[in-house]
Amino acid sequence: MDLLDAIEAGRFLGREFLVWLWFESEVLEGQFEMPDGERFELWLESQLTLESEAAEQEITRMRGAAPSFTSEAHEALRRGKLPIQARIRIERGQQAFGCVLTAKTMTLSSATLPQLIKEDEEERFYERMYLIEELEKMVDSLYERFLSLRLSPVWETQVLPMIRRWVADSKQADAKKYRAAWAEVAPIGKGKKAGWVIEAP
Amino acid sequence: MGAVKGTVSYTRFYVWGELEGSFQDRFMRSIRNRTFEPLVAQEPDDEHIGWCSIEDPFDLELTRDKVFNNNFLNLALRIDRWRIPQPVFKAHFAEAERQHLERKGREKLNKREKDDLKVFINKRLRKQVIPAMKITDLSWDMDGQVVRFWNNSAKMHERLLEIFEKTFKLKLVPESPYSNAVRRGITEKQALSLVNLELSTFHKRGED
Repeated sequence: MDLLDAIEAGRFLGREFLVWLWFESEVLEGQFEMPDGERFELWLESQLTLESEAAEQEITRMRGAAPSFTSEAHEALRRGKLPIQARIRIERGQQAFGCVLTAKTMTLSSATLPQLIKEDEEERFYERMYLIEELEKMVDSLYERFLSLRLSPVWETQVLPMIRRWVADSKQADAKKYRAAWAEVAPIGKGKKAGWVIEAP
Repeated sequence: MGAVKGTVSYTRFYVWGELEGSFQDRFMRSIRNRTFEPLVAQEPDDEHIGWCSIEDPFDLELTRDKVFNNNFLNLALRIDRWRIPQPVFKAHFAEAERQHLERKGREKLNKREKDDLKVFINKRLRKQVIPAMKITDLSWDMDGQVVRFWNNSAKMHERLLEIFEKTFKLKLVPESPYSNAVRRGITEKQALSLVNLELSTFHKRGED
């Protein structure tokens, strides 16, 4: 398969990732952990856009302190709309990061970074790039976590039904059961790594 | 803008290909070949595209120390375009056409005469306007093989892909859920599974 076709074929994963991020941040009360054990808090904040799968013109744009917690946002999910863009906030120790994540392209925009402390212009550039990389590392580790789940049979048998129950009623999320499901999920990438071109089997 | 200061909104691209040998000299030669050249009113080009310094878009004397910062290759993509407001152009054209017809004692210009007049008016008006300038920062992390481009428009991405490939003889893969999955290290088998997956349904059918 051609790389551009693969990119197009995989676009929907961005929307699923945002739904999962929304679900997981509510179920785990915003507590996340990187593969190296570093912990951070994450939640959806201030900006959320949902789009109907059936009709692309049906868009719900929400702004406010925490739009993902509103009944309007959950109602949009119940009606089959999926997030296409969300603002996320990450707090790691004393550092606060934020960005708008676009599902289709996985781009980060309007990011906020912890305050720069270096004075020298060149040093400020390195510090800024370091903080951008730190933000990317956290978002990428979450995406990797999502992929390991999405590529596991556990997605269909356990997690998707849990997300559906949460969509129907956000109080129906069971953190204990969700954590237990992870026991059966293997990390991605055990085998020959994929290149940019998919070789037909 | 963005790599050095300003809004942090960008798109990641992954570099497809390996950096071989002493690429810095080779890259500097290619960058100099594609350094931005200012537009000239008398020339027919509507637009010029090229590289400039990330620190200063008017700095077109690109040297190694301005471009390479440790493991980063930093440049800005500059696109200048003549933008003459349509009503202004139309008014000047109508006036020139009227004078031309009066001189020739005719009622109408043929197509060729109209085209020539358009070129003439364009050149004359270009002397009175400053070209519109678009600057986008680019920062290539050569260790991570990641290019960050401070613009999220698809149109600008196309321009970048073209000039980047011409300059560095390397392809860029745009960020997307699939390309990120490959970068995260999925296996060949998982890549095949991913492209054959379908969007999950999260809601109860009939409520949409």
